[in-house]
Amino acid sequence: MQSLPRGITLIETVLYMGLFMIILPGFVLFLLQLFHTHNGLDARVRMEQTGAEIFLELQNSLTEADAINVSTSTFTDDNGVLKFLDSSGQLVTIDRPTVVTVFSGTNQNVRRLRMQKGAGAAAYLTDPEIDVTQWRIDAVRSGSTLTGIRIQFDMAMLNPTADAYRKAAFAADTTFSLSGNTTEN
Amino acid sequence: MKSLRPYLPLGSLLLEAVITIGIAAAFMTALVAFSVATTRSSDRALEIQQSLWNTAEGTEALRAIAFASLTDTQTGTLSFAAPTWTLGTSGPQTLADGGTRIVKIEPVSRDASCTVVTTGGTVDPDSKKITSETTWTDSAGRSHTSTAISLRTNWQDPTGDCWVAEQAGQVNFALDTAEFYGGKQLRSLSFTNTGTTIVTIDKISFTWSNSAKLDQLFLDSSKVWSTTGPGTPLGAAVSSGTELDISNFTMTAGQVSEITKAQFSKEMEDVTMTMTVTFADGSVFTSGPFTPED
Repeated sequence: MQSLPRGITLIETVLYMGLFMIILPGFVLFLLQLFHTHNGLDARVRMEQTGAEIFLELQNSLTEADAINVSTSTFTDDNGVLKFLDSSGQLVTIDRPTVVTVFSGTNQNVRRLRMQKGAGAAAYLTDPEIDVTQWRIDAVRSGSTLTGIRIQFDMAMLNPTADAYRKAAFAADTTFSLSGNTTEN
Repeated sequence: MKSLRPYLPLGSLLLEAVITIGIAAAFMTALVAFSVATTRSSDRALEIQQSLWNTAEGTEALRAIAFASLTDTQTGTLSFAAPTWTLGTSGPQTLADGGTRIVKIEPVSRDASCTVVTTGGTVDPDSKKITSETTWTDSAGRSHTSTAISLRTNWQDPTGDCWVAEQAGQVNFALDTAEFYGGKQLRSLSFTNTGTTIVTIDKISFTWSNSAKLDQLFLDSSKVWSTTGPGTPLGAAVSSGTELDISNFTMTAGQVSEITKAQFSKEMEDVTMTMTVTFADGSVFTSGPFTPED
């Protein structure tokens, strides 16, 4: 007599379901963790890119600046304001306002770096998920001559400990030397 | 009663489960490895970006310090006390993020044509090679270094030969003040040494648009050339375009002088001239055409 084709037995079904129930929660948790890690990773990469873009922007614009508006800038303060005239004589302002952003379903105050050129619309230089914890500007002088602008710039992830974001921070401290043609007013 | 035992899938049940678990484990291990690798990669990117800022700070701060304060060192440090950067020599220094930085200041040598050379040449007192080197250890314990090298020049107040302005570039000639006095004497062509160093006029030549001859030349109260000396050529009055090797005429910084007399043999009314002046450093001023007032 020819044997019947093998199907899935009841005991196999029960065992597979049991194994599946054991593995599934762990696997789902693992995937969730991976998802959150990826989210954090994305923000950290944006933090790195933000740091690079701000560095290049400042290096270009300050090197070409016509004049640094020393009298209207706010120096030696963690909430500094830098004002200068760019190579076309346009006023550029870089400050750090506090804005409300929705993060993890709730409103949060985030300090973001903002740049405004002339009468144009202001553009944010940092993401809403990144808090600029310090934006400090100092005039650098050789004798009485303004020779550079020093910038201390710290960024941190929003709620790095309370959320799934992995804690990451960026602390930069640099000086941009000014060309001999840049004056102060 | 017929036994069901021959139809049970003996042994295959456990094998399938083990294979399934094995595949799942391999898949999850790959995901974990990928996650760890990307996290480390993002750590590294942030560290590199941070080191870029720190390294740039080294060279930029050295540019913001007075050139005279840049003393040669292989172990330089930088400290900031608003509003001044100060150079120290006890490096390397530890930075706020745990990395270390050392700045170096080295002399620069140039050859006779003022080109930077790595061997031989003469030390240029107006140039320094500046280096900023930042070292940090990543989350995996590996050491990394980023280096920025630049050249700082004392272009605003040079003391060496390579950065002093050409003498011709320091002297302004006021051609519009020139006039013919008595029809045959070129006068009142003034010129000013606007530089900060002495300049010396070595040779002068004029062109003019008629057949007149020139036989003597005075700068201020000095006769600097005539057919009987000083200067050359000697013997006969010269035609348009002849170069006069005059008795060297020196001007201190800020000095204003003038051609008080260039004596021609004919009426020079409405004559158009040009003037070429060769300085002791070999630099040359060549004017455009000008027509002195009569």
